[in-house]
Amino acid sequence: MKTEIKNSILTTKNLRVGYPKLDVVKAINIKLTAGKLVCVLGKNGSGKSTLIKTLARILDPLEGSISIKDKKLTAYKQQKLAQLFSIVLTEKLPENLLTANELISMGRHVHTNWLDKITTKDQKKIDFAIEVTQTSSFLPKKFSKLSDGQKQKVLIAKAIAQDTPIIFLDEPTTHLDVHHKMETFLLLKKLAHTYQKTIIMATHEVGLSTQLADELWLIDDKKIKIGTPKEMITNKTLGNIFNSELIRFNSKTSSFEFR
Amino acid sequence: MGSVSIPFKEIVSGILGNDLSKSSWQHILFSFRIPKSFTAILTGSGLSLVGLLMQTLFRNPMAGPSVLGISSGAGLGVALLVMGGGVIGGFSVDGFNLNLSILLAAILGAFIVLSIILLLGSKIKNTLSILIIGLMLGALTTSVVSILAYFTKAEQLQQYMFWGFGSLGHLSSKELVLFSFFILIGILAVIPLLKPLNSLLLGENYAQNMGVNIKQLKRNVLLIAGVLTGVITAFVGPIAFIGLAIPHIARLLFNTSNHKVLVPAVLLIGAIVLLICDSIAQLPFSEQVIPINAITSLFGAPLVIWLLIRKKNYNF
Repeated sequence: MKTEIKNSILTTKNLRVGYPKLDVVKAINIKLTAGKLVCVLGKNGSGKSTLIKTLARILDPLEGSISIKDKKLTAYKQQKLAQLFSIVLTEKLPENLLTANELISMGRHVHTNWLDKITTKDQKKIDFAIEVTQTSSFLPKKFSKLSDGQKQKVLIAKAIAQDTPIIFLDEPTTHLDVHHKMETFLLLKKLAHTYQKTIIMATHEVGLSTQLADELWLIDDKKIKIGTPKEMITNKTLGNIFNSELIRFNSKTSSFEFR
Repeated sequence: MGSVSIPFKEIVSGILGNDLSKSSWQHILFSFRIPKSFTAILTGSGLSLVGLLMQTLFRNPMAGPSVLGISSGAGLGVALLVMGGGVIGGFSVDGFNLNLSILLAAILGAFIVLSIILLLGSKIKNTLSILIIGLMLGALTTSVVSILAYFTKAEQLQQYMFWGFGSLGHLSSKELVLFSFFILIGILAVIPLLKPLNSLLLGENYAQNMGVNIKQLKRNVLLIAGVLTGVITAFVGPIAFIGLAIPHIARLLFNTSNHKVLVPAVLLIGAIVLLICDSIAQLPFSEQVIPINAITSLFGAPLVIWLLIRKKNYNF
């Protein structure tokens, strides 16, 4: 496992993301090594989701290239990509009658045979995902009947069950209370550090991100700045992005306060 | 059950290979009633499967072959062939016997409407809007048929009108074999799609991230749904609401979205329901027969209204 750390798992070259008539973020050059927790920060509408979706191949890049393990995203087959990264999105799921357990087990789809037979190995991965996300209490319930917070946990569990080296998450803690937010951040950090997963998460939790992330990607004014939380605080990049006439960033408490 | 009543004991012994006590009974049982029951089973299963496929593909509980105008599309294909043939005058279609060109015309018609809906469906997510587009497409095809009918000879028009009532009873044994073959192929072709269809329950983005090739899946589902609807419409005419209603009944009964359960369930329930509808259409022990389409609509239309009313808290 240690040898993998040296090689970059995710690289982008001069990547430009956005929509046909609207650039969102330009000149993105990422070189990310495995086993890191990355938090993507920026104001509403700055392009966090657009970047995550482009990296996860939901949107096409406008320019430049994305590589995973030194091979371009476009050169992978869909099946192989699904073994490289899993996703947690903000979009509402279509109506269905799936139980939480069925949904989490669907994370194994890419590994199971054509009849979707769950093997002992698959079940172990599912059980692990359920255990670390603490979702066992609502497993038999219908997904559609769960609270928004529970739904987010189930979707995170599904992504973990998929057991991919990379997990992309788009604001996975929006509907969670403070306790469960921290719990989820700690879980993602543990996945990164203990299990060598690469976690890339768009979030509005500036405080938690600066405390727990290994790397911050700050998006502002169509540009991206990459660095450790410490660097971002000392060179005031973080403060400059979010400070307004209303609030300012306190680097000692890594939280915002009223002016 | 029909204008001639045959004792149940006789039917059982007849099926077991014995001769019936009246030779007319023998003829009625084997030439009419058993083939008709088979046709009902195949039609009910096939239409219900198409309905389930379309509801999952469009992620829309109101999708179904008749509601979205797919059957009308197949009907237009047949109309163009039957009546258009008369107008153009090149060839005539003799009766409605085994005829591959009718089959092809119906399949093609079904395909065209399906493709239009799929194309528009990717732009419009709203359930009701798609329903309205389906209605409009149905209206369009009906108006084209009316125009054709205006210029066509009475004989051919009559042929088309009879076909439009939908009938399970006129298939010859050769046609029945061909019909069974197509339905069986359709059902078999769905088996490898069970897993990707389950993935699709989470939406296209998640399904893709679960290794599903969305384009390929859509193409395959379109192909199966188009062929099944086309074949069924060509052989027995448009049969309304079965495709829409049965998947809902299956979900209500089994309380699941899992296609590994739902596919066998809709095949079974579809067969049973259409057999029941056919028995009702026969008006047991009388000499009258109501068009099967009237019966399925009689039960189906209120069901759709009811589904729309309770849609707010309905998970499909």
